[in-house]
Amino acid sequence: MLKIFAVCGMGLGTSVILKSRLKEALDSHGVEYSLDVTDASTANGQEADLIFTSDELASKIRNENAKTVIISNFTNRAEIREKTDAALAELNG
Amino acid sequence: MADRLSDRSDALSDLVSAIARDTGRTPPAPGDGSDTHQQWLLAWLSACSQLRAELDEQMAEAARSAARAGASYGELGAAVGTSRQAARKRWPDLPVPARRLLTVLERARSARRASQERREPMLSNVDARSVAVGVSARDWREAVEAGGRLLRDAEAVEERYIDAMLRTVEELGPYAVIAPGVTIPHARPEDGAKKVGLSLIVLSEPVAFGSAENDPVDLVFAFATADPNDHIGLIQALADFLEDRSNLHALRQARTAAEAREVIQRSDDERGDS
Repeated sequence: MLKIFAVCGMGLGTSVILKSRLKEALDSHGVEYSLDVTDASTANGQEADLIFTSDELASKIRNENAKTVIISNFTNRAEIREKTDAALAELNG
Repeated sequence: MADRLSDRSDALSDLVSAIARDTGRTPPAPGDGSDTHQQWLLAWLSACSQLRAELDEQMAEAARSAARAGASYGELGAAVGTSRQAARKRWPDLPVPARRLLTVLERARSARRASQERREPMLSNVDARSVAVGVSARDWREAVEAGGRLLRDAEAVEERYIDAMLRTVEELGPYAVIAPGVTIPHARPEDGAKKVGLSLIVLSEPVAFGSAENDPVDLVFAFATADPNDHIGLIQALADFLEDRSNLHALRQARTAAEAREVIQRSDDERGDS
């Protein structure tokens, strides 16, 4: 079971978009995962495999166990899918 | 269809003839002068015109009834051999199925009840007053304020919400710049949000928000929600709208707020028809 966080400012805008697009990308891999939207400090204090966030918030991520993935265009399904694919390949490899 | 119609053209001619006779004219008999002949042909023409006006009214009534029964503008257009847009232009304001965003509150509430994950086309329900193009802003602050003022004017937020939006950018940085040239500034429900609201500002000159990847910004979609779930369908519809670069291009080309709204409406219609 992969533990994944989408880290956003307030959990209202970017995260809503990111969560639905991440879900699409993750579901296509058929992996088991949990996906939660949180702020940076919550994500830092927990066990996690992957943390998705924006360039601006990435500097606030301090979680040594997790791989941080930076998304620059949150509307772009292709970018989110490619980065999800790459991150999962790295975790498995 | 056309063949069956021509089979009935005799019946149609009889109808036109009857209407023409109602004007007091009669078909010319052998030996009548060309004047009588001309009067009759004009009466015939007038009868055709009256019949067409009557048919137009019947078409409008039929379109309204069909819309009430659940037909979309796309289906109405197909029935009369025109595009969806032409049908909309011909019969504006039909009670087509409520899958657009003019009543964002009811939609949002039912969307929440049904499924938070289901995306629904709702963008064009944005208050018509909440769109402005050619807005000049000297910096990101003025751009966010302009978006916030439209939310306030639509009574979606209290004045203090605008300050909270600015504070959010100051504290969290430009993370709400979600795509090249696009930002979705917002604050928290408790910062003075009264209901779900979305405004669109198209800036005349782009401004920098400090985003490494997505600066400069010229499309500002400010939003608010009084409940942290009510806006989910709206935001997902917005994200899908923004993913299509042709929509962004069209918004930047829009010369009036009405044209910008048309871009949104068109996108909604396509979602609705698909």
